[in-house]
Amino acid sequence: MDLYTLLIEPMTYQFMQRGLLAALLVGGVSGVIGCFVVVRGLSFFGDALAHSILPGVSLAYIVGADLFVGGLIAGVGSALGIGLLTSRGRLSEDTAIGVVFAGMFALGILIISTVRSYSVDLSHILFGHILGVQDGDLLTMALSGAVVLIAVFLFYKELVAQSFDPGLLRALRLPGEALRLLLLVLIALTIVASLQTVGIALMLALLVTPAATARIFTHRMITMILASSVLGMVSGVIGLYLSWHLNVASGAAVVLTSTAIFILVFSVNRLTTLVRMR
Amino acid sequence: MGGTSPALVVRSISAGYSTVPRAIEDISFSVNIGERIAVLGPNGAGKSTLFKAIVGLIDFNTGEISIHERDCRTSHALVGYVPQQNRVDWDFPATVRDVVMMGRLRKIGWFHHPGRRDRAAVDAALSRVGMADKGKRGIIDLSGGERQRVFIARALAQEADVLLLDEPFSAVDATAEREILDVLDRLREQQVTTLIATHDLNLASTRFDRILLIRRHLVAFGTVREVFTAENFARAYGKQVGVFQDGAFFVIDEH
Repeated sequence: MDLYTLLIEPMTYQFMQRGLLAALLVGGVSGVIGCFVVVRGLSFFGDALAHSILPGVSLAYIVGADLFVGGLIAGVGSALGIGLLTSRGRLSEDTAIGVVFAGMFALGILIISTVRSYSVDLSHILFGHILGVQDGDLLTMALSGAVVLIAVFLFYKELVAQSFDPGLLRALRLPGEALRLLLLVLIALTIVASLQTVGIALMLALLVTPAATARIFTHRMITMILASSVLGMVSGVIGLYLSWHLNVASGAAVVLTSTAIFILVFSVNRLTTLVRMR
Repeated sequence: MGGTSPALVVRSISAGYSTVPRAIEDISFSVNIGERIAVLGPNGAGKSTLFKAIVGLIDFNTGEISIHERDCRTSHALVGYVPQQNRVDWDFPATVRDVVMMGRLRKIGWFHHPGRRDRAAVDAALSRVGMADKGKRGIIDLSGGERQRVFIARALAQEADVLLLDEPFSAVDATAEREILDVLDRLREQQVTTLIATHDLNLASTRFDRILLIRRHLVAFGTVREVFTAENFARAYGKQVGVFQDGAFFVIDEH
């Protein structure tokens, strides 16, 4: 296989061009917000949030509304719900997440079960369909991504400090609780915007794996974010090509690419540490 | 040591939480500039509650607290809270400088990046705790004593000159303890006032100017000689304590 068939030829198709743009956008933005997910140990929250979007998306599908809007309402609603249940230690975080997550996902399944015909679109919500991305979807992804990145840029030092030591913000009389909710909403927005590439079931990997990989070889938040963002984009692009050439599901290909990179970086890091110790 | 005006005045303060509304009750004392105070009392006596009220982490129902003769609710920046080490994740991807810079968060302000003044304040704070050469280190590589010094530097970068340290000597080894005490000695020369919650009675009896002994209420406040009496300790620790041996007290069954 020559370089043309490997890299250029797939991109002569418009759906591949759109897929590539989607992979870059989603990989980059998820990589950034994913760093906060990883350093704060919010993996379970991220997974739950992705699932709790289902009722919003399926309801929007049935009434013929915009899927993104439906998902956004359900996602932000769940994020704030979990945030408020856990504020001031009313409920432990994993308990609140468990309750909201299971309830919302069940509601989603209930709504889907009312639709008699098998729906391809809904299966795309669950497992992603990066090659079916339309121009309108790309615009939505770009706008949501821009909102997330601008918010992270504007509140960067506060978000990082709040992630490291929430008590400090209270002592300095800064609104740590509002910043915590902001972060949860940003995670929700990222998830809703990214859903079309890998779907609900695999969304977590997009948030966690590139950031976890970056964390292995970085020791500052800023470098971790940059590295994670690049890793997210690289995984997205490689995954897309793999899905084309091997004719396999695109979402799974993207996720497995980032998993492979994680294993590689983890192993190289362990080996160099072992060599250095000798 | 000891300026003319007090650094910290606490007047009949009562504070608590929704579950325990009166974790501390009617506590009054006054600390001079540059003094080092050991805050003693059994577990649940309200040491942390007292600190949190002074720093403003919890609201207090009655009484007043002033720092340099200003209400603590408006002069919060002057009090630096040094939390227990285990309150944060030391695997966090940050350098020593990054953490100390967090003390400047409010001074830098929303939507601004650290400027030259902030960097200078961080440098000064690091050298005051003897960590000037370790600013670029990742916090993951710090020893127990260094972690505590980074937290102290963070409070100093905040431009606080009243520091509250919550159990800095618990869970650290002898080396770390010596490091922290050295830093505290240096800070005392610079007129920094410190209140330190501790369980270590021997340390409290040797390295501090005055002792604040509480058990929900104020039990005693004064010099070691005044506070370390069998009667005071029986009131504070009840049956937990009271063994008097070679001039030292031992707390039985602490934790």
